[in-house]
Amino acid sequence: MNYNGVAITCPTTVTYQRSSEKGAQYFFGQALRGLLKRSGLIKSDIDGLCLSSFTLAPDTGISVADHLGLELSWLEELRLGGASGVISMKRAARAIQNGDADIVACIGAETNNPGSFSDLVSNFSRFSNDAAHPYGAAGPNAVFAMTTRAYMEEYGTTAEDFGRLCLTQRLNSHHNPNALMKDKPLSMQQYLNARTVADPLRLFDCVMPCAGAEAFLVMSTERAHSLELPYSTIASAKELHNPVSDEAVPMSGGWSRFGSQLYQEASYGPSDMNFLQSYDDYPVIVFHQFEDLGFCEKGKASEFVRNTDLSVDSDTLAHNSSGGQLSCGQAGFAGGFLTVTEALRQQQGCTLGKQIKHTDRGVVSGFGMVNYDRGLCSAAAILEKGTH
Amino acid sequence: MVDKLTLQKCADCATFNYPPREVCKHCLSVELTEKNVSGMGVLKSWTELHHSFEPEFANELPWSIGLVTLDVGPTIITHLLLACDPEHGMPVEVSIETDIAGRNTFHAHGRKETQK
Repeated sequence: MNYNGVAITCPTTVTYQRSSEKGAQYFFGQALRGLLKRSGLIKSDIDGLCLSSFTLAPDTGISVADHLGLELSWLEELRLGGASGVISMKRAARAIQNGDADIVACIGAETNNPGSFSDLVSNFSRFSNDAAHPYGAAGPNAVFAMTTRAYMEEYGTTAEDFGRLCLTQRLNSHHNPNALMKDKPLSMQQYLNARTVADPLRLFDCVMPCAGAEAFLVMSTERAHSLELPYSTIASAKELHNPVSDEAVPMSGGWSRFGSQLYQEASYGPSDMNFLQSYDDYPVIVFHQFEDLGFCEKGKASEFVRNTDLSVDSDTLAHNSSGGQLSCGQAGFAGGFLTVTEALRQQQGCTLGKQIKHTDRGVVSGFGMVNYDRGLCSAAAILEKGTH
Repeated sequence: MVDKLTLQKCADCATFNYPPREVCKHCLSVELTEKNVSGMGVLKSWTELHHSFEPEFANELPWSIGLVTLDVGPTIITHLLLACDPEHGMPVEVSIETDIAGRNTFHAHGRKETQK
Protein backbone atom coordinates (compact mmCIF):
# COMPACT_ATOMS: atom_id res chain seq x y z
CA MET A 1 0.00 0.00 0.00
CA ASN A 2 1.35 3.39 -1.00
CA TYR A 3 1.66 6.53 1.10
CA ASN A 4 -0.31 8.79 -1.22
CA GLY A 5 -1.97 11.82 0.26
CA VAL A 6 0.43 12.15 3.20
CA ALA A 7 2.64 15.22 3.73
CA ILE A 8 5.76 15.34 5.90
CA THR A 9 6.53 18.90 6.89
CA CYS A 10 7.88 21.49 9.35
CA PRO A 11 11.33 20.03 10.12
CA THR A 12 12.35 21.33 13.54
CA THR A 13 15.58 21.02 15.48
CA VAL A 14 16.17 21.92 19.11
CA THR A 15 19.75 23.17 19.33
CA TYR A 16 22.20 20.45 20.32
CA GLN A 17 24.16 20.84 23.55
CA ARG A 18 27.06 18.71 24.71
CA SER A 19 25.26 18.24 28.01
CA SER A 20 22.23 19.60 29.81
CA GLU A 21 20.84 19.66 33.33
CA LYS A 22 17.30 19.72 31.88
CA GLY A 23 15.21 16.59 31.51
CA ALA A 24 14.05 15.02 28.26
CA GLN A 25 10.62 16.68 28.74
CA TYR A 26 12.27 20.08 28.27
CA PHE A 27 13.49 19.03 24.85
CA PHE A 28 10.08 17.56 23.92
CA GLY A 29 8.51 20.87 24.92
CA GLN A 30 10.97 22.94 22.90
CA ALA A 31 10.44 20.69 19.89
CA LEU A 32 6.64 21.03 20.09
CA ARG A 33 6.92 24.82 20.40
CA GLY A 34 9.11 24.82 17.32
CA LEU A 35 6.63 22.72 15.35
CA LEU A 36 3.73 25.03 16.26
CA LYS A 37 5.72 28.13 15.36
CA ARG A 38 6.78 26.74 12.00
CA SER A 39 3.31 25.46 11.08
CA GLY A 40 1.17 28.28 12.48
CA LEU A 41 -0.95 25.66 14.26
CA ILE A 42 -2.05 25.78 17.88
CA LYS A 43 -1.47 23.01 20.41
CA SER A 44 -5.03 21.68 20.24
CA ASP A 45 -4.60 21.04 16.50
CA ILE A 46 -2.11 18.29 17.31
CA ASP A 47 -4.08 15.07 17.90
CA GLY A 48 -1.35 12.50 17.25
CA LEU A 49 2.06 12.03 18.81
CA CYS A 50 4.82 9.61 17.93
CA LEU A 51 7.85 9.95 20.16
CA SER A 52 11.19 8.40 20.99
CA SER A 53 13.62 8.97 23.83
CA PHE A 54 16.30 7.06 25.73
CA THR A 55 16.37 9.46 28.65
CA LEU A 56 12.65 9.90 29.33
CA ALA A 57 12.49 7.25 32.09
CA PRO A 58 10.65 6.86 34.34
CA ASP A 59 8.23 8.77 32.12
CA THR A 60 6.65 7.27 29.01
CA GLY A 61 4.75 8.58 25.99
CA ILE A 62 1.61 9.34 27.94
CA SER A 63 3.70 11.27 30.47
CA VAL A 64 4.85 13.52 27.63
CA ALA A 65 1.22 14.12 26.62
CA ASP A 66 0.43 14.99 30.24
CA HIS A 67 3.54 17.14 30.66
CA LEU A 68 2.82 19.14 27.50
CA GLY A 69 -0.97 19.24 27.90
CA LEU A 70 -1.79 17.40 24.69
CA GLU A 71 -5.12 15.64 24.13
CA LEU A 72 -4.48 12.85 21.65
CA SER A 73 -6.52 10.41 19.58
CA TRP A 74 -3.34 8.54 18.59
CA LEU A 75 -0.17 7.98 20.58
CA GLU A 76 2.83 5.82 19.83
CA GLU A 77 6.18 5.46 21.56
CA LEU A 78 9.00 3.86 19.62
CA ARG A 79 12.05 2.37 21.27
CA LEU A 80 13.79 1.32 18.09
CA GLY A 81 17.00 3.29 18.57
CA GLY A 82 18.33 4.93 15.44
CA ALA A 83 15.56 3.37 13.33
CA SER A 84 12.89 5.29 15.29
CA GLY A 85 12.89 8.44 13.15
CA VAL A 86 12.19 6.82 9.79
CA ILE A 87 9.72 4.40 11.36
CA SER A 88 7.86 7.16 13.23
CA MET A 89 7.29 8.87 9.88
CA LYS A 90 6.06 5.60 8.41
CA ARG A 91 3.70 4.82 11.31
CA ALA A 92 2.39 8.38 11.46
CA ALA A 93 1.68 8.31 7.73
CA ARG A 94 -0.50 5.23 8.22
CA ALA A 95 -2.34 6.93 11.09
CA ILE A 96 -3.15 9.83 8.75
CA GLN A 97 -4.27 7.50 5.95
CA ASN A 98 -6.43 5.51 8.39
CA GLY A 99 -8.02 8.64 9.80
CA ASP A 100 -6.79 7.93 13.32
CA ALA A 101 -5.34 11.42 13.61
CA ASP A 102 -5.34 14.66 11.61
CA ILE A 103 -1.94 16.01 12.57
CA VAL A 104 0.80 13.89 14.10
CA ALA A 105 3.87 15.38 15.75
CA CYS A 106 6.88 13.06 15.45
CA ILE A 107 9.53 13.97 18.02
CA GLY A 108 12.83 12.42 19.05
CA ALA A 109 14.12 14.25 22.14
CA GLU A 110 16.94 13.59 24.52
CA THR A 111 18.88 15.05 27.36
CA ASN A 112 22.48 14.19 28.15
CA ASN A 113 24.48 14.67 31.30
CA PRO A 114 27.57 13.06 32.76
CA GLY A 115 26.45 9.62 33.77
CA SER A 116 23.26 9.40 31.70
CA PHE A 117 25.04 7.74 28.78
CA SER A 118 27.06 5.31 30.89
CA ASP A 119 23.92 4.49 32.93
CA LEU A 120 22.12 3.75 29.71
CA VAL A 121 24.73 1.48 28.18
CA SER A 122 25.35 -0.29 31.47
CA ASN A 123 21.83 -1.67 31.53
CA PHE A 124 20.74 -1.77 27.90
CA SER A 125 19.43 -5.28 27.41
CA ARG A 126 19.48 -8.63 29.14
CA PHE A 127 21.72 -10.26 26.53
CA SER A 128 24.18 -7.37 26.74
CA ASN A 129 24.19 -7.53 30.52
CA ASP A 130 24.83 -11.27 30.48
CA ALA A 131 27.12 -11.72 27.51
CA ALA A 132 28.82 -8.43 26.57
CA HIS A 133 29.35 -6.40 29.77
CA PRO A 134 31.45 -9.07 31.54
CA TYR A 135 33.97 -8.67 28.70
CA GLY A 136 34.26 -4.90 29.16
CA ALA A 137 32.08 -4.40 26.11
CA ALA A 138 29.23 -2.27 27.43
CA GLY A 139 28.08 0.29 24.88
CA PRO A 140 28.21 -0.04 21.12
CA ASN A 141 31.91 0.71 20.50
CA ALA A 142 33.23 -2.82 21.06
CA VAL A 143 30.60 -4.52 18.92
CA PHE A 144 30.99 -2.05 16.05
CA ALA A 145 34.77 -2.23 16.31
CA MET A 146 34.50 -5.95 15.62
CA THR A 147 32.02 -5.35 12.79
CA THR A 148 34.44 -2.80 11.33
CA ARG A 149 37.41 -5.19 11.64
CA ALA A 150 35.53 -8.01 9.89
CA TYR A 151 34.53 -5.67 7.05
CA MET A 152 38.11 -4.46 6.61
CA GLU A 153 39.41 -8.05 6.57
CA GLU A 154 36.81 -9.16 4.04
CA TYR A 155 37.07 -6.27 1.58
CA GLY A 156 40.52 -4.80 2.15
CA THR A 157 39.09 -1.50 3.38
CA THR A 158 41.62 0.91 4.92
CA ALA A 159 41.33 3.43 7.72
CA GLU A 160 41.76 6.15 5.07
CA ASP A 161 38.60 4.92 3.31
CA PHE A 162 36.55 5.47 6.46
CA GLY A 163 38.47 8.70 7.03
CA ARG A 164 37.37 10.09 3.66
CA LEU A 165 33.75 9.69 4.69
CA CYS A 166 34.33 11.37 8.05
CA LEU A 167 36.26 14.26 6.49
CA THR A 168 33.57 14.97 3.90
CA GLN A 169 30.87 14.96 6.56
CA ARG A 170 32.96 17.31 8.67
CA LEU A 171 33.26 19.70 5.72
CA ASN A 172 29.48 19.52 5.29
CA SER A 173 29.00 20.35 8.97
CA HIS A 174 31.01 23.57 8.76
CA HIS A 175 27.90 25.20 7.21
CA ASN A 176 25.55 23.93 9.92
CA PRO A 177 25.30 26.13 13.04
CA ASN A 178 23.70 23.24 14.94
CA ALA A 179 26.65 20.88 14.42
CA LEU A 180 28.70 20.54 17.60
CA MET A 181 31.86 20.05 15.51
CA LYS A 182 31.14 22.86 13.03
CA ASP A 183 34.23 24.87 14.06
CA LYS A 184 36.54 21.86 14.25
CA PRO A 185 38.27 21.18 10.96
CA LEU A 186 39.40 17.58 10.51
CA SER A 187 42.39 16.56 8.41
CA MET A 188 43.26 13.00 7.41
CA GLN A 189 46.31 13.22 9.64
CA GLN A 190 44.18 14.25 12.61
CA TYR A 191 41.70 11.48 11.84
CA LEU A 192 44.42 8.83 11.65
CA ASN A 193 46.34 10.11 14.68
CA ALA A 194 43.31 10.42 16.95
CA ARG A 195 43.29 8.18 19.99
CA THR A 196 42.06 4.63 19.64
CA VAL A 197 38.72 3.93 21.31
CA ALA A 198 38.28 0.27 20.41
CA ASP A 199 40.73 -0.78 17.73
CA PRO A 200 40.26 -0.27 14.76
CA LEU A 201 37.83 2.53 15.77
CA ARG A 202 39.43 5.87 16.48
CA LEU A 203 37.89 8.88 18.17
CA PHE A 204 36.38 10.42 15.00
CA ASP A 205 34.72 7.14 14.00
CA CYS A 206 32.51 7.57 17.05
CA VAL A 207 29.63 9.99 17.61
CA MET A 208 29.54 12.44 20.48
CA PRO A 209 26.50 11.92 22.73
CA CYS A 210 24.57 15.17 23.26
CA ALA A 211 21.22 16.67 24.20
CA GLY A 212 18.73 18.01 21.65
CA ALA A 213 15.68 17.14 19.60
CA GLU A 214 14.53 16.60 16.03
CA ALA A 215 10.88 16.76 15.00
CA PHE A 216 8.44 17.05 12.11
CA LEU A 217 4.70 17.00 11.41
CA VAL A 218 2.74 14.45 9.41
CA MET A 219 -0.65 15.45 7.94
CA SER A 220 -2.70 15.10 4.76
CA THR A 221 -1.41 16.86 1.66
CA GLU A 222 -4.73 18.80 1.59
CA ARG A 223 -4.06 20.14 5.07
CA ALA A 224 -0.50 21.07 4.13
CA HIS A 225 -1.85 22.93 1.10
CA SER A 226 -4.44 24.82 3.13
CA LEU A 227 -1.76 25.77 5.66
CA GLU A 228 0.50 26.76 2.75
CA LEU A 229 3.30 24.58 4.09
CA PRO A 230 5.99 23.14 1.85
CA TYR A 231 6.13 19.38 2.28
CA SER A 232 7.67 16.10 1.20
CA THR A 233 5.92 12.85 0.35
CA ILE A 234 6.86 9.21 0.91
CA ALA A 235 7.41 7.33 -2.35
CA SER A 236 8.11 4.14 -0.42
CA ALA A 237 9.20 3.07 3.05
CA LYS A 238 10.39 -0.20 4.60
CA GLU A 239 11.47 -1.56 7.94
CA LEU A 240 12.95 -4.90 9.01
CA HIS A 241 13.69 -6.14 12.50
CA ASN A 242 15.94 -8.96 13.62
CA PRO A 243 16.68 -10.32 10.14
CA VAL A 244 17.53 -14.01 10.38
CA SER A 245 21.19 -14.37 9.52
CA ASP A 246 23.85 -17.02 9.83
CA GLU A 247 26.62 -14.44 9.56
CA ALA A 248 28.85 -14.55 12.65
CA VAL A 249 29.63 -10.89 12.03
CA PRO A 250 27.09 -8.84 10.06
CA MET A 251 28.37 -7.68 6.67
CA SER A 252 25.13 -5.83 5.87
CA GLY A 253 22.01 -4.44 7.55
CA GLY A 254 18.32 -5.15 7.03
CA TRP A 255 18.37 -2.77 4.03
CA SER A 256 20.02 -5.50 1.94
CA ARG A 257 16.81 -7.49 2.29
CA PHE A 258 14.33 -4.80 1.26
CA GLY A 259 16.46 -2.36 -0.77
CA SER A 260 15.34 -3.49 -4.22
CA GLN A 261 11.69 -3.59 -3.13
CA LEU A 262 12.03 -0.07 -1.73
CA TYR A 263 13.03 1.22 -5.17
CA GLN A 264 10.54 -0.96 -7.03
CA GLU A 265 7.60 0.39 -5.05
CA ALA A 266 8.77 3.95 -5.70
CA SER A 267 9.39 3.20 -9.42
CA TYR A 268 12.90 4.62 -9.10
CA GLY A 269 16.40 3.28 -8.96
CA PRO A 270 19.39 4.32 -6.86
CA SER A 271 20.73 6.49 -9.71
CA ASP A 272 17.54 8.59 -9.54
CA MET A 273 18.37 9.67 -5.99
CA ASN A 274 19.72 13.19 -5.43
CA PHE A 275 20.74 12.58 -1.85
CA LEU A 276 21.20 10.00 0.86
CA GLN A 277 20.80 10.86 4.52
CA SER A 278 22.22 7.70 6.09
CA TYR A 279 22.45 6.57 9.68
CA ASP A 280 26.08 7.19 10.59
CA ASP A 281 26.65 5.84 14.09
CA TYR A 282 29.90 4.37 12.70
CA PRO A 283 31.46 4.67 9.23
CA VAL A 284 31.18 0.94 8.54
CA ILE A 285 27.40 1.14 8.94
CA VAL A 286 27.32 3.90 6.31
CA PHE A 287 29.36 1.62 4.04
CA HIS A 288 26.74 -1.09 4.58
CA GLN A 289 24.03 1.39 3.58
CA PHE A 290 25.84 2.49 0.40
CA GLU A 291 25.91 -1.17 -0.62
CA ASP A 292 22.59 -2.41 0.72
CA LEU A 293 20.70 0.57 -0.73
CA GLY A 294 22.17 -0.03 -4.17
CA PHE A 295 24.59 2.89 -4.54
CA CYS A 296 27.44 0.45 -5.14
CA GLU A 297 28.03 -3.29 -5.16
CA LYS A 298 28.65 -5.29 -1.99
CA GLY A 299 32.20 -4.73 -0.80
CA LYS A 300 32.74 -1.74 -3.12
CA ALA A 301 31.91 1.10 -0.71
CA SER A 302 35.58 2.04 -0.30
CA GLU A 303 35.92 2.52 -4.03
CA PHE A 304 32.59 4.38 -4.09
CA VAL A 305 33.75 6.81 -1.40
CA ARG A 306 37.06 7.36 -3.22
CA ASN A 307 35.38 8.09 -6.56
CA THR A 308 32.15 9.88 -5.64
CA ASP A 309 31.57 13.47 -4.59
CA LEU A 310 29.45 13.02 -1.46
CA SER A 311 29.68 16.65 -0.33
CA VAL A 312 26.96 19.28 -0.08
CA ASP A 313 28.17 20.55 -3.48
CA SER A 314 27.73 17.18 -5.18
CA ASP A 315 26.00 16.92 -8.53
CA THR A 316 25.52 13.17 -8.10
CA LEU A 317 24.74 12.24 -4.49
CA ALA A 318 24.82 14.66 -1.59
CA HIS A 319 25.33 12.57 1.55
CA ASN A 320 24.61 13.55 5.16
CA SER A 321 24.45 17.21 4.20
CA SER A 322 24.00 18.28 7.84
CA GLY A 323 27.36 16.73 8.72
CA GLY A 324 25.53 13.71 10.10
CA GLN A 325 25.77 12.49 13.65
CA LEU A 326 29.54 12.11 13.25
CA SER A 327 29.82 15.90 13.13
CA CYS A 328 26.53 17.17 14.62
CA GLY A 329 26.55 14.89 17.67
CA GLN A 330 24.13 12.11 18.57
CA ALA A 331 21.15 13.25 20.57
CA GLY A 332 20.20 9.69 21.52
CA PHE A 333 17.12 8.45 19.67
CA ALA A 334 16.81 11.90 18.04
CA GLY A 335 19.88 10.88 16.03
CA GLY A 336 17.57 8.65 14.02
CA PHE A 337 15.29 11.62 13.30
CA LEU A 338 18.18 13.76 12.01
CA THR A 339 18.24 11.94 8.67
CA VAL A 340 14.55 12.74 8.16
CA THR A 341 14.61 16.38 9.28
CA GLU A 342 17.69 17.08 7.17
CA ALA A 343 16.03 15.61 4.07
CA LEU A 344 12.87 17.65 4.74
CA ARG A 345 14.90 20.83 5.23
CA GLN A 346 16.72 20.30 1.96
CA GLN A 347 13.49 19.63 0.05
CA GLN A 348 11.56 22.43 1.72
CA GLY A 349 14.20 25.15 1.40
CA CYS A 350 14.82 25.75 5.10
CA THR A 351 18.28 24.30 5.60
CA LEU A 352 20.36 25.02 8.68
CA GLY A 353 23.54 24.48 6.68
CA LYS A 354 24.17 24.60 2.96
CA GLN A 355 21.39 24.01 0.43
CA ILE A 356 22.29 21.04 -1.78
CA LYS A 357 21.84 21.38 -5.54
CA HIS A 358 19.25 18.73 -6.32
CA THR A 359 16.42 17.75 -4.01
CA ASP A 360 13.67 16.12 -6.11
CA ARG A 361 14.10 12.80 -4.33
CA GLY A 362 16.41 10.98 -1.98
CA VAL A 363 16.78 8.22 0.57
CA VAL A 364 16.65 8.50 4.36
CA SER A 365 17.64 5.54 6.48
CA GLY A 366 17.87 4.47 10.09
CA PHE A 367 19.48 1.73 12.16
CA GLY A 368 19.46 0.79 15.80
CA MET A 369 19.34 -1.37 18.90
CA VAL A 370 22.36 -3.52 19.64
CA ASN A 371 20.65 -6.16 21.74
CA TYR A 372 23.82 -8.27 21.87
CA ASP A 373 26.30 -8.36 19.00
CA ARG A 374 24.70 -6.28 16.22
CA GLY A 375 22.09 -3.64 15.44
CA LEU A 376 18.71 -5.29 14.85
CA CYS A 377 16.37 -2.58 13.49
CA SER A 378 16.73 -1.21 9.96
CA ALA A 379 14.52 1.23 8.08
CA ALA A 380 14.62 3.36 4.94
CA ALA A 381 12.32 5.57 2.90
CA ILE A 382 12.39 7.45 -0.38
CA LEU A 383 11.21 11.03 0.05
CA GLU A 384 9.99 13.21 -2.81
CA LYS A 385 9.65 16.93 -2.87
CA GLY A 386 5.95 17.81 -2.68
CA THR A 387 4.30 19.68 -5.54
CA HIS A 388 2.08 22.69 -5.01
CA MET B 1 40.34 -21.99 37.82
CA VAL B 2 39.43 -23.58 34.50
CA ASP B 3 36.04 -25.12 33.90
CA LYS B 4 34.63 -27.01 31.00
CA LEU B 5 32.59 -24.98 28.60
CA THR B 6 28.84 -25.32 28.97
CA LEU B 7 26.06 -23.95 26.80
CA GLN B 8 22.29 -24.15 26.94
CA LYS B 9 21.04 -26.99 24.78
CA CYS B 10 17.42 -27.47 23.81
CA ALA B 11 16.15 -30.94 24.82
CA ASP B 12 13.54 -30.84 22.05
CA CYS B 13 15.43 -29.67 18.97
CA ALA B 14 19.10 -29.93 20.08
CA THR B 15 19.82 -26.27 19.25
CA PHE B 16 22.56 -24.63 21.31
CA ASN B 17 21.39 -21.22 22.56
CA TYR B 18 23.61 -18.29 23.49
CA PRO B 19 23.31 -15.82 25.20
CA PRO B 20 21.37 -17.82 27.82
CA ARG B 21 17.61 -17.49 27.48
CA GLU B 22 14.37 -18.89 28.82
CA VAL B 23 12.96 -20.10 25.55
CA CYS B 24 14.72 -21.87 22.66
CA LYS B 25 15.13 -19.40 19.81
CA HIS B 26 14.55 -22.16 17.26
CA CYS B 27 11.54 -24.18 18.52
CA LEU B 28 10.34 -22.11 21.54
CA SER B 29 10.76 -25.06 23.88
CA VAL B 30 11.45 -24.26 27.54
CA GLU B 31 13.41 -27.49 28.05
CA LEU B 32 16.84 -25.89 28.11
CA THR B 33 19.70 -27.46 30.03
CA GLU B 34 23.39 -26.67 30.42
CA LYS B 35 25.54 -29.18 28.53
CA ASN B 36 29.29 -29.59 28.31
CA VAL B 37 30.48 -28.68 24.84
CA SER B 38 33.76 -28.57 22.99
CA GLY B 39 35.50 -25.21 23.28
CA MET B 40 36.86 -25.46 19.75
CA GLY B 41 36.00 -22.52 17.56
CA VAL B 42 37.21 -19.99 15.03
CA LEU B 43 38.09 -16.33 15.60
CA LYS B 44 35.80 -14.15 13.48
CA SER B 45 36.79 -10.69 14.68
CA TRP B 46 38.48 -8.95 17.57
CA THR B 47 39.16 -5.56 19.13
CA GLU B 48 41.51 -4.06 21.65
CA LEU B 49 39.45 -1.91 24.02
CA HIS B 50 41.09 1.36 25.02
CA HIS B 51 38.03 2.50 26.93
CA SER B 52 35.50 0.60 29.01
CA PHE B 53 32.46 1.46 31.10
CA GLU B 54 33.25 -1.54 33.30
CA PRO B 55 35.26 -0.33 36.31
CA GLU B 56 37.11 -3.65 36.63
CA PHE B 57 38.73 -3.11 33.28
CA ALA B 58 39.76 0.53 33.78
CA ASN B 59 43.21 -0.42 35.10
CA GLU B 60 43.69 -3.25 32.63
CA LEU B 61 43.35 -1.37 29.34
CA PRO B 62 44.01 -2.01 26.57
CA TRP B 63 42.03 -5.23 26.81
CA SER B 64 41.51 -7.72 24.00
CA ILE B 65 38.20 -9.39 23.26
CA GLY B 66 36.96 -11.31 20.25
CA LEU B 67 34.04 -12.91 18.48
CA VAL B 68 34.41 -16.66 18.25
CA THR B 69 32.10 -19.00 16.40
CA LEU B 70 32.10 -22.26 18.34
CA ASP B 71 32.08 -25.51 16.41
CA VAL B 72 28.74 -26.31 18.08
CA GLY B 73 27.11 -23.22 16.55
CA PRO B 74 26.78 -20.02 18.56
CA THR B 75 29.04 -16.99 18.18
CA ILE B 76 30.21 -15.63 21.51
CA ILE B 77 31.98 -12.53 22.79
CA THR B 78 35.03 -13.73 24.73
CA HIS B 79 38.19 -12.53 26.41
CA LEU B 80 41.10 -13.08 24.06
CA LEU B 81 44.36 -14.44 25.41
CA LEU B 82 46.55 -15.34 22.46
CA ALA B 83 50.26 -15.97 22.41
CA CYS B 84 50.48 -14.36 18.96
CA ASP B 85 48.74 -11.66 16.92
CA PRO B 86 45.10 -12.45 16.16
CA GLU B 87 44.27 -13.50 12.62
CA HIS B 88 40.92 -13.78 10.89
CA GLY B 89 39.79 -17.43 10.89
CA MET B 90 42.36 -18.50 13.46
CA PRO B 91 41.38 -21.70 15.33
CA VAL B 92 40.97 -21.06 19.05
CA GLU B 93 39.89 -22.99 22.11
CA VAL B 94 37.50 -21.43 24.61
CA SER B 95 37.28 -22.33 28.28
CA ILE B 96 35.52 -20.84 31.29
CA GLU B 97 37.94 -19.18 33.71
CA THR B 98 37.71 -16.73 36.57
CA ASP B 99 38.49 -13.26 35.22
CA ILE B 100 39.97 -10.15 36.84
CA ALA B 101 36.52 -9.17 38.10
CA GLY B 102 36.07 -12.57 39.77
CA ARG B 103 33.46 -13.67 37.24
CA ASN B 104 33.49 -16.99 35.42
CA THR B 105 33.70 -15.96 31.80
CA PHE B 106 34.81 -17.21 28.39
CA HIS B 107 38.53 -17.06 27.65
CA ALA B 108 39.81 -17.89 24.17
CA HIS B 109 43.34 -19.23 23.76
CA GLY B 110 45.25 -20.16 20.65
CA ARG B 111 45.27 -23.87 19.98
CA LYS B 112 48.65 -25.39 20.68
CA GLU B 113 49.34 -26.33 17.07
CA THR B 114 48.72 -22.76 15.91
CA GLN B 115 50.80 -20.94 18.51
CA LYS B 116 54.07 -19.66 17.16
